[in-house]
Amino acid sequence: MSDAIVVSGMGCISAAGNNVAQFCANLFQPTLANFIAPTLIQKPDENSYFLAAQVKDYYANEHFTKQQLKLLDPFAQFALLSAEQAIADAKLAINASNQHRISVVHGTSIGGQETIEQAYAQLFAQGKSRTHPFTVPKLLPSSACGHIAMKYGIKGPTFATSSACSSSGHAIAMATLMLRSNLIDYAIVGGAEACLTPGNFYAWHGLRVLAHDSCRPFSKNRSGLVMGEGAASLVLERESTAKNRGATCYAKLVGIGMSSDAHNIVQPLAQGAEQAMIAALKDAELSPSDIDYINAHGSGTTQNDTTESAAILSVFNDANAPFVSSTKGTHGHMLGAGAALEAIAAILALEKQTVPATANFVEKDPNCNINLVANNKVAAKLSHVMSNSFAFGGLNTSLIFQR
Amino acid sequence: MQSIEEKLQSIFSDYTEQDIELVANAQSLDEIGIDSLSIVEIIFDIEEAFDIKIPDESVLQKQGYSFSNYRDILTLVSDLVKQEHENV
Repeated sequence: MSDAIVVSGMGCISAAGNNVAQFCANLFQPTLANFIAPTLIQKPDENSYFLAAQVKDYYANEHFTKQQLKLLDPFAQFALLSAEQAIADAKLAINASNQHRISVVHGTSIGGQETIEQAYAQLFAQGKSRTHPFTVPKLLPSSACGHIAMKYGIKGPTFATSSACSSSGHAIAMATLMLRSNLIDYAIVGGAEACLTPGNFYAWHGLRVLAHDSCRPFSKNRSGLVMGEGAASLVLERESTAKNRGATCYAKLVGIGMSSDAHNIVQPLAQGAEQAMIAALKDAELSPSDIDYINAHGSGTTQNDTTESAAILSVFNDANAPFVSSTKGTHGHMLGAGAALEAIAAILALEKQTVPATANFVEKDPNCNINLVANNKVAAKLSHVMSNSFAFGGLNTSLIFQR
Repeated sequence: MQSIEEKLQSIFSDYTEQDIELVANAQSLDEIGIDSLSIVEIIFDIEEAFDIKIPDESVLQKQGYSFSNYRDILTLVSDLVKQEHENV
């Protein structure tokens, strides 16, 4: 590849850390700490508890003014904070000379869920006849992109991607294509989700996929997924641009793969996952044996874990089976922000030459016959790592990073 | 109990730091630093505070009302509150 795409900045806010340094420390500590706890949902007739990976020590008014908060749903707050960290980390100066050549592509699965639920509560439970006039600008899934662009004066292509749990994977892929085609020079990419709302818990509960005790991906007798909130952002640019300005290159993004199962709105299909991984390998001009570690989608549902395992077994032969782990047991399933946070996890694995562990693993599942790194991290020589995201609707992305 | 004017002043004080004399005498809301985004919020706050419904701009114009400065808004709100009382 003539001019590789590199990651020059990273930022995140999640249950497992409010910045990349904290996230890294938590992901690679000798014994994984638990960042998932029951969250109380109060209803007039009953109280319920749902497991959640909630951002900790976060007080919105420490980061935003009262006036700003009127227009920022929590998902947009998280997006702004992670983008701010990534831009600062990349030491990217945004000014009149480059503002038209910078893009913001940020994904979200559901956007301003808290705003929607508050407005509905006012209308349908509290008997009010009006909602706050900023309800619409706050709930729009694209509002996070708009706020990031406004804050930094970014005037290049700016839009949201929404493909459920692959949203930020598609954001990264779209920005990569724009960088490769020289439409832009820099991209602020990522995803954000603030999904720990009463209505959303009950909606997911209805699908019977939420864990009742712990999130233990690829473990037999798993109990389901645990929703998490937060955001992750990365700065992408061409390697030549990064070198010219003396930027740090955390990793090269060498392969992007995207596919659609065209099968079922909730039931995943192994062939779709395979196709995304094969597309990423082809794009990177790599063979399966070049991949040393896969940060799996590994949501902790039976359907995902068994399908993803079958897909991995089909693409990667036994002799050179890459290490596999899911970090969702640590930071939860951040829906549209997941792919971006897990891309950071994969890049950190490259940096530390260590595979992060799959938390809470109890017992091997014969239907998940993969080279799983369970409970304890593993030091390994890692040259290429893959990060998978598979979403409802069979919308798949696979990204390959190189050291 | 707060008068209509006191309640309205209290709402305006959330959107402008200008002295009330200046607010009351300004010819336009723009003059006292209230932008179009704040105007929709002020309309919402007034509707909530007085439990009234402020008609759309075209309807207001036909009725001879305006929402262009503090004095006009005070007149409008006073009339709407009065109508509301008459309807009860």
